[in-house]
Amino acid sequence: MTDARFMSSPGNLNGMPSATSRSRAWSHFDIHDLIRLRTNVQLTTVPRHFQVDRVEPNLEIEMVDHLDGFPATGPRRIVGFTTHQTEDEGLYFECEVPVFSLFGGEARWRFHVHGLTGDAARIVTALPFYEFRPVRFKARQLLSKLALLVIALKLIRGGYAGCHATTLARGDDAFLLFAYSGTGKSTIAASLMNAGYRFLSDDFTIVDPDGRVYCYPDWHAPRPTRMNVPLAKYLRKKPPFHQTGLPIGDRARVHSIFLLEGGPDHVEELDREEALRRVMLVNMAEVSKLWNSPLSPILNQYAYFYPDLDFDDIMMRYRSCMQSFIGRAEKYYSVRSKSPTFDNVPELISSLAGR
Amino acid sequence: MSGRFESNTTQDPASRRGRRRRGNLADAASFNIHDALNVRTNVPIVPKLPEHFRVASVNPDLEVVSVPELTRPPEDSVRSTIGHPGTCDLGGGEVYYECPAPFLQYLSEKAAWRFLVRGLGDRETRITTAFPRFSVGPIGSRLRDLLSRIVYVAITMKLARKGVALCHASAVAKGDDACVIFGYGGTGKTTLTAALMRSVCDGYLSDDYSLVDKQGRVYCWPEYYPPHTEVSGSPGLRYVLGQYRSTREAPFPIRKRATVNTILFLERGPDGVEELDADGSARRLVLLNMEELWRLWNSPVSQILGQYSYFYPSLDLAEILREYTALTASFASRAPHAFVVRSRGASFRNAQDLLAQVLGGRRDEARP
Repeated sequence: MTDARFMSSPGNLNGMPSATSRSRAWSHFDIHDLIRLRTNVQLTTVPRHFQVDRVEPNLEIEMVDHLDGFPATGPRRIVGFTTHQTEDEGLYFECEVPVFSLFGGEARWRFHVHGLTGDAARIVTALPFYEFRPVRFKARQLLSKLALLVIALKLIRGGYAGCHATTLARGDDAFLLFAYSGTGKSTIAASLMNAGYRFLSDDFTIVDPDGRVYCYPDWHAPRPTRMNVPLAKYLRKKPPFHQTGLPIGDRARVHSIFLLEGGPDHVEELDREEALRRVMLVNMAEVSKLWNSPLSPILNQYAYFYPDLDFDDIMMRYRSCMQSFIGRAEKYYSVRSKSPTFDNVPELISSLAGR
Repeated sequence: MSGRFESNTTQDPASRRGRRRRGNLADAASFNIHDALNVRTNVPIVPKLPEHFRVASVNPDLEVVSVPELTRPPEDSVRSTIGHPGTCDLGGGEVYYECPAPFLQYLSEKAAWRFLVRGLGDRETRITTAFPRFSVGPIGSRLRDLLSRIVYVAITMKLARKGVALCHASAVAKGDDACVIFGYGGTGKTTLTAALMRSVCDGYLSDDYSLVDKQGRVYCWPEYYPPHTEVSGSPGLRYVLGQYRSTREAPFPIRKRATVNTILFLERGPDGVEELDADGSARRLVLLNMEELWRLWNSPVSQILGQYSYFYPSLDLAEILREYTALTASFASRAPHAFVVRSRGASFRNAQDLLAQVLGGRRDEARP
């Protein structure tokens, strides 16, 4: 590739986008001072709400023009086909280039990963054909999943937890809606916002053991309005949720938790254990989606080389954080509704909020 | 659709057109896995379940049935639906699941892939599926691959409940002394296994999946993969040619059962051997097994398990995972030896030398 956009432009380091690499401009995100991200990739999983001028990053994701492949010889440990432990306490990983590999392209997508468990996690990656839109779209999607996984790991290690809920608040009272994707969370969120509730999160919610909820305003339009030609999304320019003007609340305290299902109208109070059980399953479904990626071996193999990244410990911390968080809620409801708009939920929430 | 999956059909020409006869239970193949699990299926599973387990008939613990057609249950028979397009709880341990058909969905094809699942948390489990129309050729191969992954997950879960852990490892034996070899895909398990069978070892147990229990026993899963590379042509082409995870019968004498003597973890790099304690060995073993389980989980069909568990707490995924982890940890603690072996060469000469010393040694020591 001799395309000018592939030429290295280290001038980007001062945060000034150069004219030839519009897509490589640096952005900084400050997520409740828990995650300070600096990246030159457009990540669809990090809300623009958190964008700031500058941060001292504890997580960096950088797309560079070129990374060398590792020679097969050299004093390193190698596992699998291509994962190397590097001398500077890092990991080198490579895999096929998305989309291109379907047609037999043999170019490699390369990664250098450092300090996943420390205060300066850094992922550097080089992807041939990044300027080709379908490749860029797919690569961004995969990098976005990886980024959110790393963010979730860092949150858990810091004593917080990410979970798959839509959160709305009135005053300091947060109402969390848990459900498998597509049940209708976003639709309810839209109608509650119209009724004056503040929006905290749509898909990914940050919580702590004391019952606090921290916003993560990753707004997705309710699904039926989306394009239903899946291939078209590969050509779309912008991630779906970059919408402004939402009444965003920053933090609130958990008031009650709702688990949504379709079916004959029915409201039932759950005990804490059953609520926790279901919440964990819904969360697991989302983690599975993030993990279902050709990039997830990076995390597994990093843990193989560096026992600091201990998934057992992370799972235990996660469970205990969620258990404690759920314990701070006043009520747990299983709500079933025939209508896709879940008209009974806003009613139920406003009756609770009124108390 | 030539005879790629002939192991699951009889040899008469009519049944070689397996797709048209889908749903015909006469085509079902039965497998008895070490008396721990009986499987019956009329869908070709990839990689194939070992011929070694093939029996004339079983009373199945796990039945996978492909039928020509399934329809979405009428609304009044559904107790509850979750997600989109809607997984339905039909009561009595029965769940209806559908997902968009892979590939076909890219063409905005509305064809759904449908499932009816019964008794996932019970001893007898039945997974009924209707493939979308047009699931021919490479699309059919892809769908069978995705379905097979979840069948393997189900097999893993059911075996764990019986006290047997399915591990992503090769296993060979000298007499009753088994060596179980772990390594990320591509590190060299298959190559080393074949080399060991031509030198140190005399009994072949498995190439990719090893069954182990908490007493340290290893049970055979005798399927053999010709050594493979990471990328052999385009993935699309692999499906067209039907080369996806194809196995052969092992060209070695099979040993049914042995007792673990050594666990090896393979890495490439400067030659070296490092002895591990039980914790170090268990830690690596879990990571390597998780890698494979996640690969199997990576299928649109895996949602069934989580959602089934949501409706029916009798399927306790967290508990199964704990049992599985405890099993493998106990197995690791029973191995007299565990090593990380690093080698530059693909033949792992140092591993062969090491095993020549270690295997068979324990029994000699035990003799008066």
